[in-house]
Amino acid sequence: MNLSLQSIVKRFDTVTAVDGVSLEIRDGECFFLLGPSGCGKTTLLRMVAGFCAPDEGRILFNGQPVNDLPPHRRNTGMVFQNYALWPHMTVFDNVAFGLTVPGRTCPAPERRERVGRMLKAMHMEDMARRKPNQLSGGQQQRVALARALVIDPACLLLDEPLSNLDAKLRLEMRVEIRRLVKQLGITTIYVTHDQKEALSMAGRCAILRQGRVEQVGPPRDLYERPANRFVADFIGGANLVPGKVRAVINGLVTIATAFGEWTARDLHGAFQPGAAVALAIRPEALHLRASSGTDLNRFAGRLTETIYLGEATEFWIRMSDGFVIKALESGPGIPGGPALPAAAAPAVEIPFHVNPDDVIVLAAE
Amino acid sequence: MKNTGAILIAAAILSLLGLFFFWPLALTVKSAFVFNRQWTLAIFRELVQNPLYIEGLLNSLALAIVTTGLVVCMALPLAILAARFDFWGKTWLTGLILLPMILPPFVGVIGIRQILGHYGVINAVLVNLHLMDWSQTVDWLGRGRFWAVAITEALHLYPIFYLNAVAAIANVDPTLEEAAENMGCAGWQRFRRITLPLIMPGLFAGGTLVFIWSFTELGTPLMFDYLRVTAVQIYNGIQDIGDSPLPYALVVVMLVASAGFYALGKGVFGRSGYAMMAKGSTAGSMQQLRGARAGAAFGLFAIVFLLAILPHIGVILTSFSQAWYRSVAPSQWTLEWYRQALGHGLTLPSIRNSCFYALLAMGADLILGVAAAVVIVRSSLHWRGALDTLIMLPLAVPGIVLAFGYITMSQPGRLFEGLNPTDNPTFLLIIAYAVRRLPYVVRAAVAGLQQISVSLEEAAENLGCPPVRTITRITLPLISANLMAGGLLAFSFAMLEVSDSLMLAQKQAYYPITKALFELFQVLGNGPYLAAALGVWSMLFLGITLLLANRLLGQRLGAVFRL
Repeated sequence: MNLSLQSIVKRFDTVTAVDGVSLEIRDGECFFLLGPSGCGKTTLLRMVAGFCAPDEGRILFNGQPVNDLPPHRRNTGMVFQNYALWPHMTVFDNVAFGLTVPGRTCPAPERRERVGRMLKAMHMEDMARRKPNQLSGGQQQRVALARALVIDPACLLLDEPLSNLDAKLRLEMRVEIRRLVKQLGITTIYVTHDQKEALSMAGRCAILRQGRVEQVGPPRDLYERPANRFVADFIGGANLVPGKVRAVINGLVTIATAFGEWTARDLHGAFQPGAAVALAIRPEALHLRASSGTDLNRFAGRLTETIYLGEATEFWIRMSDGFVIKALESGPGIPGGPALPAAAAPAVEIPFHVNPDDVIVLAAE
Repeated sequence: MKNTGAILIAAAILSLLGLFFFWPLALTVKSAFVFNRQWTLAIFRELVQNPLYIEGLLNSLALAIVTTGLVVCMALPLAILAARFDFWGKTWLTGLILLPMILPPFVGVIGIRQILGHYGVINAVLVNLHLMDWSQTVDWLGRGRFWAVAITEALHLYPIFYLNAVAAIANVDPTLEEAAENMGCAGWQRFRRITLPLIMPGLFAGGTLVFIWSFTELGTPLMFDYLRVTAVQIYNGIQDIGDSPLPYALVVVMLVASAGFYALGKGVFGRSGYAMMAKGSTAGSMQQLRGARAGAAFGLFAIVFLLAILPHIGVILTSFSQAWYRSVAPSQWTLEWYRQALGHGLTLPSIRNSCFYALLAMGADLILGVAAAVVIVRSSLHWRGALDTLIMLPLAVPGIVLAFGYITMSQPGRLFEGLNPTDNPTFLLIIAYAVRRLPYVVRAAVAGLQQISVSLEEAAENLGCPPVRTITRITLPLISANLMAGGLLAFSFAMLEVSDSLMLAQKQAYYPITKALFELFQVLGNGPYLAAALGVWSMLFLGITLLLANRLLGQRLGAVFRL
């Protein structure tokens, strides 16, 4: 089913939760709504499910407006953040519920067969007689998913489905949900505030802020070509350095900043000399060791913090004007560079350089 | 939920409340101010100039103050013990001390008179010890019987305060107290400066209920022949309601006073309570008592319990005694009174009547209560808070006032003439019981709905279940324990209702249990014994229902008795 949201607006009292959102979600696509809490992503999902009505705009399922269709006639399958398993029913009855409602009632043998098949797909066939409170978080999650999928919904709605699981289980379920959705080819809308979840699972992803769409695209586009400062910072946490365009020559832009001149590839061709801009530089784009190559984007600053993260180490480097730029190095220490004993760290003057391809120029806003 | 549905339900409930709650009250108030078709304050002037009525009012006020004081002294220490400490026997002691609620205090009067009277147990003990002679016995009830009334009421009402207090204390986030302790404030200091202010709203809620209840209590003073209280004066005024407007004025005074106390308890002191950042996990903060301390806690509970069931023991012994006169215990035992009670024209029919009235009232309360709770908790109507407040108002209006209102509105020539209770009080009794107990059922249902997440209902709708079916398949099963408990409470309180029953049931064929008890007690000879037997039956009956309610609702029983 393809799904179309047209200029959706939703207000709660004085707060505008969703402010003119338009999205086209294609048949069979795994579409993510990503944003910080309070950005309106859950409200948007609930409007698709029919639990609240937009104040303005239209929602279309396969071209048919559904604004006035009550939730129970929309044929969506939703997984709630708290799973919403009915505590007075067994796992089997929870999953079978959707096959006992008007319009979807099917004979008992068929029902048993379909529920059994779904529980088996979720590796939950042994738990059918249990009550939800006898299940672990991960098991409840699987039941909630089975309950939503057993009715063959036109689209699957997931509201932060992994937020109540521990870190290890979350990684496992990520893979599992991705596999399921791909296998079933079902149109899916997935709400999350976790950028890693979105980057690793999404076909396409919409970034929301304060009820507005900031950017829509595949994960790689969002990460490598953020449309603005918010997206650059929200996904991957870029260093944002303010500056002014000095010249545009041969597809290369030179930008003056408080601690030196930067060179970046001009992708948009939209910057005129004198324009105020912001540079977005990913921490992992900073190379902390001297290497051959061009002399572009070579700087040095004082090391103020070293944060050990296990698979990587983060370095905070204070530039001459006081701006702190963050660098991320995989592996222990700095290969080939000077050893950095923690105690001596603050005194060390540390050089780094950045490839012009990794410097993203954004409007200053 | 859809707003049109919510508005329809709310409108239906409000019109029922309007017809059978606000209309009778308004009519009563109007009757107090209109004499010979003219608005006047003459009736109140007459009231103020009558020392009898002033004395009645002062006595009622004094009774309420003393009763509430006694209740707080008895119940607060018990509540603190129950909410904060663990000791041997606590589980069943905390259940046992709720028992006194199962009998209207005025039935206990039969027992108390046996114990404290001229020829009663205490005097018999003293005579047996050769400390006294039968020719110069003391009437321990006291001359004015004021204290007898106050103590009897306190022994009946303390569980209401106790439940409120326990709930309030258990709700205090233990980390708030730990924070105080961490800063060096412990023990009594901590209680006075942190705990007490936090539980104050809960205490005031319980205290207000007790205060209004004892201020307007009719049965107990009536049975003790303590007639100079406003409630009894109103009761006696029904007979000449056609001639004298004075009872109207008395009712208005009582209504204004009760509503004032309610507003005071809810608005000024009660507020809405403090929101705790975290729910108190009582398991961690429960302190284990051992040895002498455990013994003291046990003793305190046991003493209060024994005192509270003393009247009931008196009733039970009376019902089995051939004669109980100038002796510590009955000298001869018999089942004769039960045999006679079975055949008496007042007893069995009254039980049948009461069950019928109470069942219908409970059914009405459950239907209205669930509907109201769904609107209050689940709808998005802006004035659903106001609806909640309106439905709670019957708590602020004494039964005697409402019953008087019903009599007023069914006087000849009025709109509801056809319902006049002198002919057949069935409809008005059921309505009276239902209106008075609706707040308890609504609170129970609201508490249930607030506990279940909306997403449980949304999940059903998402899977294709229409809204009404969602309520029957998901919502109602999930709150069934609350509904059963609320229903049982509505039922047992309807069985116990005194003032409505005494005032509205005027023909023997329609007497409910309480009215039958009262009438039997007045009969010379075997009357009090038959009343005692009937009292024992109703005790058994109500004891079982309350035990069930406690089982179903557990710790949350307190929530039902809050304002």
